[in-house]
Amino acid sequence: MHMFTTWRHTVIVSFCALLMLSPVVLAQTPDNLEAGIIKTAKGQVTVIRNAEKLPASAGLSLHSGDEIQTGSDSSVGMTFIDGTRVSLGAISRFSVDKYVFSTKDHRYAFKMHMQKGTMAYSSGKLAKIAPESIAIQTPQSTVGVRGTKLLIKVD
Amino acid sequence: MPSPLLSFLAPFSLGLLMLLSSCASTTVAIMPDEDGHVGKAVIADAAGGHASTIDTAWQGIKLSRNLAPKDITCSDKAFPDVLEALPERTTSLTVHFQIDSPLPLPDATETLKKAVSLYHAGKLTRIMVIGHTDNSGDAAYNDRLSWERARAVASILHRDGVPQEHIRVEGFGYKVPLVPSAPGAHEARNRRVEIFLW
Repeated sequence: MHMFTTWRHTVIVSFCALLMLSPVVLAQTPDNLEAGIIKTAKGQVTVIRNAEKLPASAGLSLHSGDEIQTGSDSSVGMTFIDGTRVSLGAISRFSVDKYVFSTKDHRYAFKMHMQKGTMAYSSGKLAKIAPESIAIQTPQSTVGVRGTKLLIKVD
Repeated sequence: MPSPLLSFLAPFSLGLLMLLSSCASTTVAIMPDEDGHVGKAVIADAAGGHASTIDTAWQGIKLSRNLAPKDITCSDKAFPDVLEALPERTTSLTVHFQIDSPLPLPDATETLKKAVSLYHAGKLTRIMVIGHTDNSGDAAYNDRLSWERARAVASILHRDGVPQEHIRVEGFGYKVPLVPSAPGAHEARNRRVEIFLW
């Protein structure tokens, strides 16, 4: 009985506490939420989203399905919400085929496609929580990672 | 009738195309992270027939069409522009909680202040607030409590000036403990919220 009272008490206290604080509206977690952002951009960087070409600069949000392209003498650096970092060198083509980080229903995925150029990858939380959910596809291979930093070149 | 120029060029362009496709390749190399740690990568060829593992600093594999995988040694000199473009590493701060409570312990105040100042000091910083519980209470209760804790911390960060759209809230319940413990165990180190600045 004591346990029950304590539990109920906690619920009431926490409810009141949350009411006192300014509420942060809880975003839903569909897979089209922001997956990451562009942190650095040099030269010509383009994001292709829903068949539309967007000129990209630092601060742009990235989503599942986005393709990122760089021109000559260009580069781009991206950080994803789990802390995974990816950068691309010149004349590169990379897409985020699927990015899911949802603790609520334990769904995790980071499927990347490196089609052309050079890339650096540094793993984040996903590599610790769900390493099997990460794959980098290239025309010649599929790369699986276990908490590491990689360099990839596709020519 | 095909133009004479085209007929003249055709064999060359075909040769060039063949040359290009035979050179098409993927090179994957592993390097130490900022802490000197080297992880592991498994590279499976497109046909799914062969898989190579690399787990030593600067070890690499080159896969070309119709050729056997080739071991290579890489260096950071090979990719100067890419490594320069890699964003700065992320930072984490942790605040702790009383048993069953969604409110951070009083000593969290300094940490929360630090999180807000790091947010403002950083370039394009975003925050993910991740709640955790210890292993007392059932899974559903812990899941809910971890979200309450994360939301409470997110509210404080927001109150102190971090825009709401730059804060994301997640909760793991007991699924990612810092110190694994037996069911029912009270473990203060697991009752935490991670403020992940990315």
